[in-house]
Amino acid sequence: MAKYFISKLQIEGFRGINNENDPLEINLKSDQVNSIFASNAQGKSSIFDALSFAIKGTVPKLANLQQSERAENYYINQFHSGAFATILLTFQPDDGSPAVVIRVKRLANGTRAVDSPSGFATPEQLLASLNSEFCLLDYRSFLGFVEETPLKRGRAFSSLLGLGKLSAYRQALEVLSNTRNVNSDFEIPVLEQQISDFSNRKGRAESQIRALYLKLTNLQIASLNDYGVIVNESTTALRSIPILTNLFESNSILNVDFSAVKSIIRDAERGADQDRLRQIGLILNQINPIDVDSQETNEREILKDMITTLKDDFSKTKGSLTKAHYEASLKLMSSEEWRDDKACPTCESALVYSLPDALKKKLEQFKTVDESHSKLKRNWYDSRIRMKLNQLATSTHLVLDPVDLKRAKELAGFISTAAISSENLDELIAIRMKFDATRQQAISLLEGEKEKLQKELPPSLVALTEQVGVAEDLKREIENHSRLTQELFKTEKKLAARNRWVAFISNASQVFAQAEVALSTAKTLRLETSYRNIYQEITNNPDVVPKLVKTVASEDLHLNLERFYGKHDLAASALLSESYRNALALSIFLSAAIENSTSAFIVFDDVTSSFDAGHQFSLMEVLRTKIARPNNATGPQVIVLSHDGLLEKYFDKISSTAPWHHQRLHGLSPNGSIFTQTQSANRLKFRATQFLQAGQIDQAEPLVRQYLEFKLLEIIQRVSIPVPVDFSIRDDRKMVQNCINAITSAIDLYSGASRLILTNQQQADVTNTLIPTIVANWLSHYSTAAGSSFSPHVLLGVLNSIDQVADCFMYNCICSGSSQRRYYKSLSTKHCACV
Amino acid sequence: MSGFAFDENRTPDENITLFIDYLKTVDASLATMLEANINRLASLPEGQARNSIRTEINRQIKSVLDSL
Repeated sequence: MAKYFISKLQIEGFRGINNENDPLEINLKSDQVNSIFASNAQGKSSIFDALSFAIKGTVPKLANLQQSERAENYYINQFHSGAFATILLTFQPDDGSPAVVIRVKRLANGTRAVDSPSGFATPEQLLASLNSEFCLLDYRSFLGFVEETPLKRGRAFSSLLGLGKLSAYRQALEVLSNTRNVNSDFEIPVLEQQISDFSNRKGRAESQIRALYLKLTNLQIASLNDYGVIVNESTTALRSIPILTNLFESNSILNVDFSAVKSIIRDAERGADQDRLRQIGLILNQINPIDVDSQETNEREILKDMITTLKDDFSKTKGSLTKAHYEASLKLMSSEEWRDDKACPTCESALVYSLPDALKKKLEQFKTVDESHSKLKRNWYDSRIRMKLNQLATSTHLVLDPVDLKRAKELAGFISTAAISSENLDELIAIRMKFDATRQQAISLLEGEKEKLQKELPPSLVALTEQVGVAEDLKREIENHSRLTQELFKTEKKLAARNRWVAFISNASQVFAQAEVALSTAKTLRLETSYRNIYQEITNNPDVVPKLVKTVASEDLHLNLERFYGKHDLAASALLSESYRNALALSIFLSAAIENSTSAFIVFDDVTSSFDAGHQFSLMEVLRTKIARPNNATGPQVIVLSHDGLLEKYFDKISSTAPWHHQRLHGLSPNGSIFTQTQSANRLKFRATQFLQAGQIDQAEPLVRQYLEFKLLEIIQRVSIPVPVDFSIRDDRKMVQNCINAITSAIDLYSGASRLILTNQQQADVTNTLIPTIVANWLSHYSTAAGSSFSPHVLLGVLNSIDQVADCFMYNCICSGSSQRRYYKSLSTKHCACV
Repeated sequence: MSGFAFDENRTPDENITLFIDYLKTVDASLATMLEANINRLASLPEGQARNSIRTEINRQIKSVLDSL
């Protein structure tokens, strides 16, 4: 399969890169190490995020945010008026086929759209195929690898070894064979419980069949495997009974109609009369106890005495209206409205005694009445007279006079209202006696009927009825036993099939795990020399020797130290400093990348943050000499993103002596535009000029600065002007000043030594006219941030001045056959002999 | 020990095929069922709803087993 190297990356409207209508364009080389430097907040991480979104479909730092942070709103640059993001990737296949351009868009509604302007048929699949564990690495990749659990680290490592698919397969098998999952999904405990239930119920049915068969035939069952013998013997037993012979001539107990059998027996024993006899017995049992007993006579006397007492008490009062009057008067006299206790509130006549006291005494008499009434009601409610009257009145077997019933209810009501008299009670007792006479008459009639039926009915067929009942129960139990046998068989078969799967998947999971462990252990061992060497080269410390230990029974991977300053077998994560842990993770990733030469490219984003300058240099040398093309002919295209000023010095230096392609980002993130240093200077100048002609100084200002920096750095690089050691790490806003200082110092130096190649006119123009113009019109304002003093015309003049400065470091070269302006080789030499 | 081992010189896909072939020698019909279903689970990205996929796979396998 061809390798797809990234040859160009264009970004607009993504994260910190606005570049509306003018995408950031980065050209990359497949046969060189690529480095991109940007100061903080200059869009470098947005490049990494854009690649991540294009290739992996997500930006991890956003995906890991809480939902409330609404990360989905921050993919697109906040200042892009189109509210969409475009990432254009150009891939150059290594098999000579045409370049493939893939466009990935993030739309305002959050959707991702992928297409190919170059006509590649399956752009999404191509991006998916480029997505590997190595393709995008940042500080978090290594930190996560070290700090993850051994299990997650082991799985990540499997992916590094190219065994990610086997690891995923192993996990899938583990999920499928997990005992809890299997038991739940295949309902193993449910089936086992069902089998247990069916077995128990079948056992009980079997016991029942044996007992019923013995009762019916007086025989023991030899075997329950064949119901035939049981059915035949039971049927024969019933057939031998004369009244049932015909019915069982052609039927067995399994198909006979038992209701027909019972009907025959019922007819034989005059069943309807038997029923009536049983009913008479029940009625007599109900009405016999409602007789008149001696206790009722006593109750009657007690109740009469109570009624007399009530009447006496009541006669001492002047009636219920008087009570109401007393109560109202007392209430009035107790209130504020009536203040004189010795004045009658009705006639207002004067009294010689306290009226409230008199009223209270009167009302005391009514209290006595209430107590007598309550006592009467309680005794009436508990009395047998009331209970038996009630039983008689509600009996459905007695026909009572409705007039009497109504009167009895009315009289009982008098007790509740205290209106009862002794005469009323006598009348109620008389009605109760009438009801009793009716009861006695009914008993007499029922007894006569009972005696008659008992004489006429035949001897009982109870024993036969019981025998038939046993046969019917036996039939039911045989059917139940048969059904349970079938259910048990089906359920056992189902459980056996499911257990077959359980055993199979469990075995498959174990076999796979063993094979996967063996394979990854072998691969891990093979990497050992490689990651140890890389670790050694980065740290330059022979006293620390790492070792990866793969657990046999799981996917766990442990980071150990085989040697640590003379000690052995210690935990690397717990012992190593952050930079050494980072170096260890890097070593493992890089050794795996060498082993798996299928990765087309690796992008490193700020992976040296924890390193000092020496370790940074060592790591870059490892990348250059061991990992990246062209030194590693089968290695990946390496792209390093960094904000580290010291590292940029290395990039600058190495790019002039080795196959190393370095670029610098400038610009105004997140609301303006970002460009690479090599991105068309003409475009910078063109856009700056456009803004200035439109009077838009704020938009033009950063472009003017970029253009100045670009041209000055170009002069420094092309003419090999020496710069101070801390040149690139000085205040970024003073880069123009730094460049001018370096250039003017170098001119002074070479001029003083009489070795300056510039013509006198060029030297005079630079030092006397052009540089002073730039300093006066730009630098003196910009360095004080006094941007408001710029005018469009002045800045247009600055743009022209810097072009003229660059031209002062050139001469006419005709080597190619036509005359062209060419930079001097240095401040003292030309590239050729042209004048 | 089953005696089954992956071949270092083969790709993961080829090794998985080797494994399925091995399982077919153990129980052909169950191995075929596994082969037909497992990729739905194995190809699931980390953190995706494995449980619902597993339940669905096991439901289908159970249905086939019950009809055997």
